[in-house]
Amino acid sequence: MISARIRDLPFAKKVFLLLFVTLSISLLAAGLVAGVSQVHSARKELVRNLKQQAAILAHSGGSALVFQDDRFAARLLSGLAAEPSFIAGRFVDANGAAFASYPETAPDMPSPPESGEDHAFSGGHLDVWLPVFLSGKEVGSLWLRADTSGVKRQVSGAIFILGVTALIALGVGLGLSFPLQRTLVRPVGELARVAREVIRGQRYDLRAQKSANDELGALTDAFNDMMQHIEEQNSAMGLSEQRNRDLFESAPVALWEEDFSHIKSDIDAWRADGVTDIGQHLEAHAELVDDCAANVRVLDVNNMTLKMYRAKSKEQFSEALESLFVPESSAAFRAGIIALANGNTIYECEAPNRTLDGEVRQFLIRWTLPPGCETTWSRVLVSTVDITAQWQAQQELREAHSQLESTVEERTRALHTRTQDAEQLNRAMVNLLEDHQESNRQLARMTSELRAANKELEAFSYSVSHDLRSPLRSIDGFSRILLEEYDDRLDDEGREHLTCVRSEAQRMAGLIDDMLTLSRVTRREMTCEPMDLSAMAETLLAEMAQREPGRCVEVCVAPGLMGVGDPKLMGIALTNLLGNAWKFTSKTNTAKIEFGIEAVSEADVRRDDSGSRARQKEAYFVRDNGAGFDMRYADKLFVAFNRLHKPSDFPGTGIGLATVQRIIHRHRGALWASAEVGKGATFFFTLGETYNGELT
Amino acid sequence: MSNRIILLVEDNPNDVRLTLHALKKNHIINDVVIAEDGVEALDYLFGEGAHAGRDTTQMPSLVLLDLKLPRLDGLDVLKRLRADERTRLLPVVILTSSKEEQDLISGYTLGANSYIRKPVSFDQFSEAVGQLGLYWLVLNETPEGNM
Repeated sequence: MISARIRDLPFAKKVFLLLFVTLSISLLAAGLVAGVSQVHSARKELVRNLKQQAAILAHSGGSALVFQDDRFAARLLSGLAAEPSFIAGRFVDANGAAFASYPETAPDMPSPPESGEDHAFSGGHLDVWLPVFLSGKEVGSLWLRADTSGVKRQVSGAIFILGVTALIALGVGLGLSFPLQRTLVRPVGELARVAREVIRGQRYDLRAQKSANDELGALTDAFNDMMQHIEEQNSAMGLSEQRNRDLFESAPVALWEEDFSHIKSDIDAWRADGVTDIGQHLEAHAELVDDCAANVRVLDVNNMTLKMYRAKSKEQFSEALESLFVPESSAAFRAGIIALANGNTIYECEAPNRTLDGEVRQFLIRWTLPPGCETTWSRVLVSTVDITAQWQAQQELREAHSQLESTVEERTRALHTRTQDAEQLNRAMVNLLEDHQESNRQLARMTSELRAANKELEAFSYSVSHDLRSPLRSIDGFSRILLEEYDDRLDDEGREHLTCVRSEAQRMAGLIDDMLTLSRVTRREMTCEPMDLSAMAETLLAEMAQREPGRCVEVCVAPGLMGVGDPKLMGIALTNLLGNAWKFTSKTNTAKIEFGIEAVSEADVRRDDSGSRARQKEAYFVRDNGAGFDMRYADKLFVAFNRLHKPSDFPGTGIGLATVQRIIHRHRGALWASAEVGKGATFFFTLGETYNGELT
Repeated sequence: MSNRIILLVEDNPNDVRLTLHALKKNHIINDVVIAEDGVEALDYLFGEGAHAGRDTTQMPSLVLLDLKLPRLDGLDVLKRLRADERTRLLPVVILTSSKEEQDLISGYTLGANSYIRKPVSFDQFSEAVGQLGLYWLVLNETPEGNM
C-alpha cells in the first residue's frame, strides 16, 4: 500500500522524500552510536571510580579486620559519604559475618555474580566486591554500592544535544537540496510533457529541450534521436503501406484478409470444457462448422477476388459471402479449422466455391496465419487461385484413366474368354488328336489288311502267270505237234480247227499277260524321275515299224517333250497309246501318228472326272487318223474288257486303255479322248506337277 | 556231247513231254534226267535219297530249273546248289512260266546262268530250247574237273 502510494508520487516529491529519509536515517544512526558510546564510557568511569575507592578502603580496612576495630572500619566507610553517588558499604570478616556497615541501616549485601565478575549493575545501582588482604592473607571482603542515576542524567543530556544537532543538520540539508531537485526534476518533466504531446497529437516532429550535458541531457538527446527515427520510419512506412496496398489490389491472385478471432475464442472455450479433439468435435456437431463460417469476419479483399467471384464491389461481395459455400467447400473449411486448431499456420486445399453469378468453380485456397496472430487468429491471410481449367482437365484425365482401366478390364475378360476358348479348342484338338490316333490305328489296321490283300493278289497274279499259262502252252504245243506229226492224217478242215485252237490259246495268253500288266501297274512302287517322252515315243514307234516292216506310217513326234514320272509305267502307257494308234491306222491308206503337246481348256481336263484336280494348261497327246470311234461310247473306253471294235476288225483285249488310265491317274494326271468314226482319235493326257521329285 | 547229261527239274508232265519234244526236234540227244520236284533234284545231284550211291562225280552239264515246284521250289534248289562246293559252278538255266520281275531278280541274284520264260507258243518255245541247248551244251566252255 505504502510502496504503491510512493510509486505514484510525483517525481519531485519522490526526490524530496528520498533526501529526507536518507538524511534522517544517517543522523539517527550517528546519534545512536554517539549515545551508546556515551552510556558505555559513563558506566566504565563509574566502575573504575568505585573500584578505585574500594581498593583504597580495602587496603586501609585490612588491619581493622584483623584487629576487630569495627569503628575504624565504620569511619573508613563513612568517608565515602563525600561522594554523592555512594549509597552503602560493608566489611565482612573471614567468616562471612558483617563487620562494619555504612549507613548502619545498609541493606543486605548481595552475593557476587557466579561468573566471578567483581562488579554488577542491578536495580539502578552498581555493586563492587573486593577481597581484603593483610600481609598476603585474605582476612575478609568489602562491598560497595553506588547510585547509577548520575550516569542516566549524563546520557540524557548528551542525547538531547545530539537530537537538537540532528534536527538542525536535517533542516540545513533539505534546504540545500532544493536547487539540486530542480536540476533533476525539470528535464524529466520536460521529457514527460513532450512525450505526452507526441502521443496526444501524433506529432513526431516535437523535440525535448536539453538542459545540461549530464545523463539527463544524454537521455533527452536519445529521446530526440528516437523521435527523429520514428518520424523517418513513419514516412517510410507510409510509402511501404501504399506499396503494400498497391500490391494487394493488383495481385493476380485473389487475396482476402479475414478475422477468425471469434472462431478461436469458441475453440478455446471448447477446450476449456474438456474437448481434446477439435476434429472429432466438429464432426460430431456439424452445425458448429456453420457457426464458425458465420463467425468469419472479412477485413478486406482485393480486386482479383471481386473479379474471380464476379462481384461488382467489396460491399456486394461481403453481403453475398454466405452464398459462396457449396457442401464440398464446407468440408474443406472444416478441415482448415482443424488444421489451424492443431497448430498449423498454413492450410492449403482445393475446393469448389460458387461465384456470385451462381457458377461453381474449383479453387486452390491457402490460409496463412501471419506472425503474431498464431494465438489470436485475428488475421488470416487467404489466397485463392481459380484452377477450374486444370481441375476439369484432371477430371477428364481421371475419367479417361478409369475408362482405360475398364477397357483393360474388358480386354482382360475378353482375353480370358479367348483363353477359355483356346483351352476348349485345345481340348477339342486333343480329342481330335485322339480321334486322329484312332484313325491312324484304323488306318494301320487297314493298311495291314490291304497289305494282306495285296499279298493275296500277288499270289493270285503269280498263279495266273504261272499256272494259267502252262495249260495254254500244252494246248498250243500239242496242237502244233498234231499239225506237224499227224499232218498226213488230217484234212484241211481239221488243220483249220487246230489252227483256231492255237490262235485262241495265243489270245488267251495275251489276255493273261494284259491282266497281269494291269494288276502290276496298280501294285508297282513308283519311282519318279525326269523322262524324255519324245525319245520314248520315237523308240516305241521304231520298234513297231520294225515288227511290221510292211506298214507305211507317217510318224510325227514333237522333239524334247519332257515329263516327270515312273519311266517304266509311262513306257507301258505310251506303248498302249501308240500301239492303239498303230493298230487302228492299219486300214488307213495314208496313216499318220502324232505325239505332241498342245494347249487345253479347263473344261477339257474336267472330262476326266476321276482325274487330277490340277489345272494344267497343256496336255500331251497321241493322235492318229485311223478308225476312230463314236464319242457316244466314250464312257466305255477306259473300262477293262470293254471294246468299241469287233475283234475281227481290230484284235485286242480291251485292257490296254484301262491300264493307261490307271498309270495316268497314278501320276495324278488326267486322260481323255476325242474321236470321230473314220477320221481318227486323239488321246490327251497330263501328268501331275512335281515338288521335290514327288508328284502332287 | 553225248555223255553230257541234262537235268530237267519240272513237275508238269505235259511240259516235260513238250520240252523233250523240243529238244529232240532240235537234235539234242543228250541223256535227260527228270526230277519232279526240288527235293528229288537235290537227291540226284548229291547222291542222296532215291539216288543214294550215285556217282556224284558225274554231274549234269546243264540244269533246266522250273521255279514253281512241289516241296522245295526252284529258287531254294538254286540256293542249295550255289552253297555247295560240288555244284557251285553248275550251269543252271531257269525255265519258267513266271514273268514276275521279282523272280527274275531273285534268280539272277542267287546265281542262275540264264532266265528263260516259257512262251505259250510252242514254235517259240521250241526255238528257245534249241538255242539254249546249242549254247550251253556245245558253245559254252566250263572249268575242268567240275564236270
